[in-house]
Amino acid sequence: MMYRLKAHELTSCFLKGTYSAIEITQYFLKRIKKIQPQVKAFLSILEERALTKAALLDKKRAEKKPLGKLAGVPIAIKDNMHIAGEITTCGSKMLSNYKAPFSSCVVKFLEEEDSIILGKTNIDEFAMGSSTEKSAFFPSFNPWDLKCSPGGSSGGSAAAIAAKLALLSTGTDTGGSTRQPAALCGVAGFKPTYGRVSRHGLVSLASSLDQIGPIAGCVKDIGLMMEVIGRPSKYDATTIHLPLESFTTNMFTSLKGKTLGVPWKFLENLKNATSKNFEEGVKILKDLQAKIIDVDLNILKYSVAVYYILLTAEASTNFARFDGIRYGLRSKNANTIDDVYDLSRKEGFGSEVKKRILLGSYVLSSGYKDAYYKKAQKVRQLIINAHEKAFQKCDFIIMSTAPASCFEIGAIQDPIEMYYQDLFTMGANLAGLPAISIPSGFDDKLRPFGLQIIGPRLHDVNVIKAGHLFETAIKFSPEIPPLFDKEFL
Amino acid sequence: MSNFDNKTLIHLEKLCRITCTEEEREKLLDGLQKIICYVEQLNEVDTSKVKPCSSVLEDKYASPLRKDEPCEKLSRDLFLQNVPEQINFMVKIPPILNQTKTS
Repeated sequence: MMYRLKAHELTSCFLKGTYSAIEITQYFLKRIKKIQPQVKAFLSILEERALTKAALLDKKRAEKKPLGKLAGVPIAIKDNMHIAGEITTCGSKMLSNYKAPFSSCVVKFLEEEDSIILGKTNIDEFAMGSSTEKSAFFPSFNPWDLKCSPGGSSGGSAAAIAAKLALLSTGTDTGGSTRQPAALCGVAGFKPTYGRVSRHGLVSLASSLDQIGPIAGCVKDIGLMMEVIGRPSKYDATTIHLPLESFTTNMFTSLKGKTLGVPWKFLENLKNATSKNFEEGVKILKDLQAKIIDVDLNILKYSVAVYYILLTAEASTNFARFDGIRYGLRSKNANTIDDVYDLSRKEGFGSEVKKRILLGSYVLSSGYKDAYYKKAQKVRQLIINAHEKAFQKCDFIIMSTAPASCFEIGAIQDPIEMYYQDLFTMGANLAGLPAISIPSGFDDKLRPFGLQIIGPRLHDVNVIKAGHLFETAIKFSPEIPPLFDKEFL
Repeated sequence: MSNFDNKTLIHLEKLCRITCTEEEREKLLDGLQKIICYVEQLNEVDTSKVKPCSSVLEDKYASPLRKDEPCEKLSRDLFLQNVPEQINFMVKIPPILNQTKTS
């Protein structure tokens, strides 16, 4: 029953000698192979790399050499982060053959701490989406209900944790892409403070919003991974230089003395069942002796509009690098230099990516820049101000993670309706705040909900500790999707 | 406010170096018009006294720039491994002068 262990439990089992790293790796690789046809969480499975690492770990353990914090933990990496020598597709045809020349900081840290990377997970093309349906290769499926989307864009990473194909995974969160899939898949997902985790080696979407975060089966594992990846790097000038903090000791035992702000008016947009689940969550927090107050975050109703202007503007600039010259797809039909640009981008990008590049260029073009881009930057400042004002009155802000539980593949066709998947998560990106999504129960179809705890900037540790306390207080079952709560041997 | 039509889209395609198929263009035009119309709701917000924010790190959290010293760099072989066409360790591209467009 190795799949039922949490990452921190499995690493102690490995250290004690209950399992060897080879046993762990073979076990999870087998599980992945059996479950992949149904869930399609992975874009690539790095069997050889994983087994090589496992053999090395067993040798290190036999020789009594020091082992890392994540020794023996099977881990999955979202396919927009580089692993040296492996393919980084970003879920796009543009990069289907792109071999990463170096490892991202996060991957380097995770490997240094002796985790075992099993594979790369599916993603909406270049992380542009909230359902993983926009992957250029195939959609992923929600382990709780295989008709449904796991959310996105880190849908593969969340589905992998829910189906217990790995015990930790990385997501990236530009507007909610770690938290929303975590909520829809009934697992925990965290977006750190902007600047806490290095983005070096992550293929950028919108540089002022992107942040890498962990997805895991429990909040303690989120903390464990944050202790590994939450470090500054000289290769990313936006990382904040702070002393290392412990995310896994001195945990909260109650929320006595803590005030939680709930933006009730803004949450009127919640669908009925979600609203009921959220209110039950608030009650649990109240029982933990937190004081609940109302906070005004009505400005967040504009966050989708602000986000789609700023995101597309930044993405259209970042995506100029995909020109067919130095890397990525070069059209076979190109005879001139102009063809190389035009046809490579025509053939390499999917329509959502094209749409966002075009929109981004439009909002930045002369004559429209002030009306759209600058206006959105100003409303972003108002969103930051509203959060700062709220945090003068409360320690945390509580919201639902997603507007509803998971939806069937293909059910959301209207793009703006899809953008609303991230209505409650975008605020933390626009204001650079730490935010965690924790499983909070199910709807009547056994589709999971998530509750979100947002903290002031740099209060990542407290957000995780509050999340951990909520997780221990809320009781529901099952913890693992029934379809996958068994051995696949 | 916005007057986003087929002509604007074709102009943008040129600026972005993105050529759309006719079929894509029809869908894109509709999608883009809807989003542009949607984001215009920002006009309801009074921002007359607000400065635009380009990064949350503009304030005290801004990281100092690192020293301007060389650090690890990619080797030529590693750099070239992803170059679609190359000749004698150089990136090969079609001629820039006298090009005749095929598309």
